[in-house]
Amino acid sequence: MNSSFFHLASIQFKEFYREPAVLFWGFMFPILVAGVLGLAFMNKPESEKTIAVVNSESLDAPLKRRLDSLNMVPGLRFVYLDKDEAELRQKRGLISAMVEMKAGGEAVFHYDPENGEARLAYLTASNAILSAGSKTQISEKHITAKGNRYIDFLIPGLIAMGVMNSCLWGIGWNLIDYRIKKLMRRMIATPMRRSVFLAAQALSRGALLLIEAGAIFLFAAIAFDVEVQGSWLALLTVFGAGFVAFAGLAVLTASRARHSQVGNGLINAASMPMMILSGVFFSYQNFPEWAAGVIRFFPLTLLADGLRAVFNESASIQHVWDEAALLAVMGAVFFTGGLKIFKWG
Amino acid sequence: MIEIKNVSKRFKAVKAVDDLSLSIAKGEYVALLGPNGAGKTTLVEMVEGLQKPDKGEISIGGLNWRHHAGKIRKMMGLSLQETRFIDKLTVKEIMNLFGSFYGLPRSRSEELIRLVNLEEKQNAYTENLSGGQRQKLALGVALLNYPEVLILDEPTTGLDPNARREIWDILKELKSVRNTTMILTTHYMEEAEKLCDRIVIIDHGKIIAQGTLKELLAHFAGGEIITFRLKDKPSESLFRHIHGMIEMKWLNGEAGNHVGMMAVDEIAKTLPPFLETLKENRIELLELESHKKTLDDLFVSMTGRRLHE
Repeated sequence: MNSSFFHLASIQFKEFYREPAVLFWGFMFPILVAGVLGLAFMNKPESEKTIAVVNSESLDAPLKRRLDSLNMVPGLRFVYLDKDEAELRQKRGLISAMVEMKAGGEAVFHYDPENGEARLAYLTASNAILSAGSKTQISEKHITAKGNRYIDFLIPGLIAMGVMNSCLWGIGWNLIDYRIKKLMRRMIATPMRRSVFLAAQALSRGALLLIEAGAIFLFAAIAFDVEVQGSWLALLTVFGAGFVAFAGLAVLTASRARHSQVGNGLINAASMPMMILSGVFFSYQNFPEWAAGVIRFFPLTLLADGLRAVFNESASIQHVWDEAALLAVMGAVFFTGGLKIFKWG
Repeated sequence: MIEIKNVSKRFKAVKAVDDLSLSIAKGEYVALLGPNGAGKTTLVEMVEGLQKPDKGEISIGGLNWRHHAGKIRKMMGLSLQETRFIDKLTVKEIMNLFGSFYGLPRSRSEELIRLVNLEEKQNAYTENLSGGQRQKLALGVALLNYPEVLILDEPTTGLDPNARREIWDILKELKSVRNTTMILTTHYMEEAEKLCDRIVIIDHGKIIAQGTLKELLAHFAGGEIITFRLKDKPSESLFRHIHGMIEMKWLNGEAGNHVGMMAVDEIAKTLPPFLETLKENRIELLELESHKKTLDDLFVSMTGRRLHE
């Protein structure tokens, strides 16, 4: 290994462990967020409670009429789905409960009793069924399976946000800071190779990122029993592609700024909209359809969705290939563009 | 060793360097002296390859930036105006980092830390260094690669006299031992006088005078200076016939103040008639100072401005 590379790359690590504040914001803060939100929102807020009805052909006539009439009332909605689709939607937090109609007049409610919304949906719907004059018997099946809780939704989102922030601040802000301090100018006056400089910046940040994300995951695994249901290869691929996308975006963001306020503003301008819109904390599906269609292609959304698919939907590499490829291409475009207009001096 | 030929550089409306030529021999120490904004930094940054001239040629040891950037970087050492290093890295780590860019062993860093007298601070984070220690670190970094050409941009600005003298000693030693060529920018006359073989005075991007200190002072007839501040500005002709006066200039003072500078043969002969003239014309004298001539006076006589403005 080139010794310049080694020296340059070690800077990020040294700054990391020598500055207690960096340790706090890099490690403790995301974990605190995960802890607080995980406890506070055991349920996912949703203005309208949707209940999936599976095997709707087993509904008897009075019950069917009752459900259809309830669909007219805002607040509760019944949709008829097949079982696989209903389960997937439940994992994604799009439906609150699922009613499985069994032949012989039994309605089995699948829902998470820890989730207040789901509980409310169950109570309302079961009440409706009982009062419909139907002969249907009601039974409950509690879901506590991993992958369906809010914390399962939150952790991949937090990891995605960590990748974004760590790259934009850890690489982007660092480059701007070197420029402001004239340190970059001083370095390029030596025979140091610029490619080595950038590679060291990016790769040392990549390594730190793995540690940061690992810490969040470890916390979530221990405290909330969150687990990766899909393939680890898929997880690493999406994670790596996300890193490429945001490292590229960091170089682009940092390509010209030479004042701290400008740098700060640029990084915030790049990260804030995604932090708010990309569904880190709450599903972006609640936005109007046209907006959700755009938000879907934000790098942070692609990364969060990809990670969630691997965490909660047992995705393998084929399932997340599109997201990963798109992220990598975005990264390459950002990086090339950033380098073209990059100010070294 | 360094040839600067008809070099110009413009930033929007400002001509920072204006058709400037300068030739520096191997082993020569040259001071670029001038007030802030004179174009010193722009000029040295073009020599350092950090800025491109709009016009003109610069060659260093027969090499130029267009074709031999790598070679020039290896033979050149430099310190920029106020570089800040990485806060959480120690002096030793900064030295090793820059040493690695030149492929130098760690022992070279240790040598330099001793040379610039930072041994006690070698494990201190750079954020905890004083101004003088930072400048010494910057100088240490500049000297790492045994530079044949050394370019220092205001290496002692803001330092106390002791720290300044320490840096001068290091540079003097370097000249005698290694025959290094150096360009130094400064607005301290004393630094230029003590350290350099040749002083080049720059203003508005042009060389307005150059030579040894002796030569420069000889340009300016007369050996002593009277500076004074008056409440009212008298007519231009008032002092014209005062005995022993060689030259008279008005400087920009604040409103209501009129600062004048007079070059004279001998203060003792000129001061009495000068005071007499003021008295006769009822002009109130607010301040009076007289001294032997310095480079600053020379500068004022050429530009109407002081170096420290």
